[in-house]
Amino acid sequence: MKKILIVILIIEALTGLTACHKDKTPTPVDAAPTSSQVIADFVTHVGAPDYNDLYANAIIFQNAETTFYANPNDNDLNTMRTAWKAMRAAYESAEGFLIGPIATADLDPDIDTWPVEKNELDSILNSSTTLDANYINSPSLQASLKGFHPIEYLIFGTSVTSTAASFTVTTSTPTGPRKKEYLHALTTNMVGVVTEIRNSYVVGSSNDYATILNTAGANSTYPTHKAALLDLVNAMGGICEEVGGSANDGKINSVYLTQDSTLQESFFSNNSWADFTNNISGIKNVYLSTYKGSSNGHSMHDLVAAKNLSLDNTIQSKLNAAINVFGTAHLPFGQSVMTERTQVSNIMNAIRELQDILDDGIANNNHDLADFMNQYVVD
Amino acid sequence: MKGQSTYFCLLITILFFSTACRKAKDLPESEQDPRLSGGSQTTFNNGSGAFDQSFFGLNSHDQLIHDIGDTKFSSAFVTAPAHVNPGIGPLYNNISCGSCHPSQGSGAPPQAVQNAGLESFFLLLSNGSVDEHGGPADVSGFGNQLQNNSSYGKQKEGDYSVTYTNQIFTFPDGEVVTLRAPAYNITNTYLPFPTNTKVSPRMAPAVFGLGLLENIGDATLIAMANQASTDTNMIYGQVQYVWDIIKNQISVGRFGHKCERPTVKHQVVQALQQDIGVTNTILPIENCFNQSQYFNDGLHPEISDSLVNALTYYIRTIAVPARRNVTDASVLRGEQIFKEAKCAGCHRQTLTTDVSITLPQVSNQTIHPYTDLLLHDLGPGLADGRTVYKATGSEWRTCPLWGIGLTQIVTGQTTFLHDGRATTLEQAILWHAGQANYSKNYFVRLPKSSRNDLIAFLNSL
Repeated sequence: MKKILIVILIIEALTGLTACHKDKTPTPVDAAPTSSQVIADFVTHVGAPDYNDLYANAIIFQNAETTFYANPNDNDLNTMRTAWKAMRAAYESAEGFLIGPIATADLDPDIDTWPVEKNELDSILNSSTTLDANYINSPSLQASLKGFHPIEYLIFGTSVTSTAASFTVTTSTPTGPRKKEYLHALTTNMVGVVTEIRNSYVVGSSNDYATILNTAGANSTYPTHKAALLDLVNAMGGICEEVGGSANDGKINSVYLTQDSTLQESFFSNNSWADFTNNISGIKNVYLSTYKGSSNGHSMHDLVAAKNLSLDNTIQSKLNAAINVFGTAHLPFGQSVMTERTQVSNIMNAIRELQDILDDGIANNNHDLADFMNQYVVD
Repeated sequence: MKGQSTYFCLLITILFFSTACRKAKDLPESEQDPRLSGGSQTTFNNGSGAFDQSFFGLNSHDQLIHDIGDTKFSSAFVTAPAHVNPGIGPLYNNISCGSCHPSQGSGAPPQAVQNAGLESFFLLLSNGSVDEHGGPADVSGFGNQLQNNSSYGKQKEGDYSVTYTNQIFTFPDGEVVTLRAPAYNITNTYLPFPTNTKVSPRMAPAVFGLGLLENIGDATLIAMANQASTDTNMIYGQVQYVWDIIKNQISVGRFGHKCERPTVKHQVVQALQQDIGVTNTILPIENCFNQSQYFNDGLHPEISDSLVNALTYYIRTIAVPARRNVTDASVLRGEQIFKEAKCAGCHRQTLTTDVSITLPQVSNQTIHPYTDLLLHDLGPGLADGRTVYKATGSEWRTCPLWGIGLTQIVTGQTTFLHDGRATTLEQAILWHAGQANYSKNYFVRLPKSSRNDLIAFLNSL
């Protein structure tokens, strides 16, 4: 019996010794990037490439429009439509980080005002007013008469029926050539605004916002890195609010409630689902510091995962859920709100859940990404 | 035993009444959190979206109304008839609320020299006459406000442009500041412009925290004015009394650069009708009535009561951004200077809102708006010569300073005062005169480091 006790004691002692033994080779954990690295890589890997993509597609659009202007044809019209949708994809994903000159220098209203001032546009087209760049650039011309949506109205028509021939017919009201003139002037103006938008992420440009972000912590706009990161997080939450409407009045819900497809923003092109998907994908781009699968830089994801893996997993899960759920609606948005109401409702719920984990609006309850930034970013 | 019980009961009774009768006192300022500018309705968002955060504690229905108003605030109005947002024009200054209040912040003056277009800025007109309620009378053919834009086929009232003349100010320590004095030129009017017309520029202000300011009681404003008028050490401010178009009576004014509007709703319906040309049930006639541009399309009112109410509710329920860096040494020194210079005589740090049953979020809140909502004479440099009810041509409402340090990040620019002539806070201070002479001169005599402290304090608001 004594022997047994001695054996037990020895085993206990060994177990205890082992248990207390400190592991000298802990599992390696990726070091958290610095907040300035995350901001700089956002500029390099997300902001700049997204707006470069927008610019590249604007030039494709303009080239097609130039040849179309000389000789209206369906091939160039289709190229314009494709490029318009590609521009929208880049622009809508960039709405995941709507901060800086795009938000404060009237660039967003200049290019993305909705609804279209259709009565006024028809009156202008039916008039003999000279429709050139000067006309479009006039500071008195309403933003609802220029930018993406009037272009959409002209190249897609009211029911995706606009044809190249409709730009040459002279017996219609308004006449084809007047539509063509206005489209030409709109295109020049749009490329100018897109250039300004792109330049906001070009270091050294006249509206250089890249440097303001890159020097966060040492400028009056962003006195700290935390301020810049929180601004990005607020923008990410803001687009969720705009699209999913946390309290029933987002872009989706306003159409869902009324079941009126004419209230949707990209009505003429039936592009609304793509707009919304790209809005949410834009948030994911910021979080992962990537654009269109490019090699990513230091990201918010790295920052969060190093300190709170659970929060990182939740954010990524909600991001993926909010993007993937769009695939459950199979009809154009205007029809989905009438016949796929469960799917549309689920989409809004997923976006609201995403908004909640990004920024639930309650300070420091240690629930969301905004709280994380407040707690862990100290510079 | 009986005696002990009696003493015990007596003791309990004394303790109970001494506790029950003690009135709860306000926390002394030193025990308040100075960051909570909007009391319980303070947001800690200090980024681009700092001026567009909802009140806390709204139930789901009220949050829906807030969000509907938010959407409408940002939406462009178009010409009627239209499926979405009809009703703009025939004359207007801009196309949406958000066009004048970008990101719910303040606007900016037009580019110098060139004709103004769609601006967050407009010119008020008057000729010294008063209407039946004592307010500025319309200028024949132009109304109260120059609408410099029009629907297609209609004639705008005219164009305007601003030019600046530089004035050099030199501090005693030799530092030089350039101040720009604006002048306005009106051209291309659809009728000959009456020669005796006074022109008063107005830049759109920020719109957060207005629900809290609206709930500063009349009695509080009157008491502040009375206190100041009887205490020679205080700066005298006067309460504005204006015609309230909603109640059809004289009310205390709170909003507008001359306190010309008593309530948020009054502000909303007037901006819709005057600035955008959207008629509503309170102002159902177009701003160009009796003018050649007037066209009765029979669609009035052009916005429903529900949407007007949602817009009003939205603006009432925008939270106030919290102060930053409140323990920073320079900010604390600046705060002390702010008091010593008597800036706080008009820019009152702390006010308490009235009890509100209809909107509990604004009820009994200790807030730090840095205004007294009273009229003060700021001297001839800022005077526009426009008399508005009790406000003389050189009197202005004390501008609330809360959130002023976030102007750059929210709006991408910094222009201050009623016409945006100041591009820095320092310039804005230097334009003060009249009742603010003592404060301005105090600032001018400070060494550079102390002036910087004061600016640091203002930027923390």
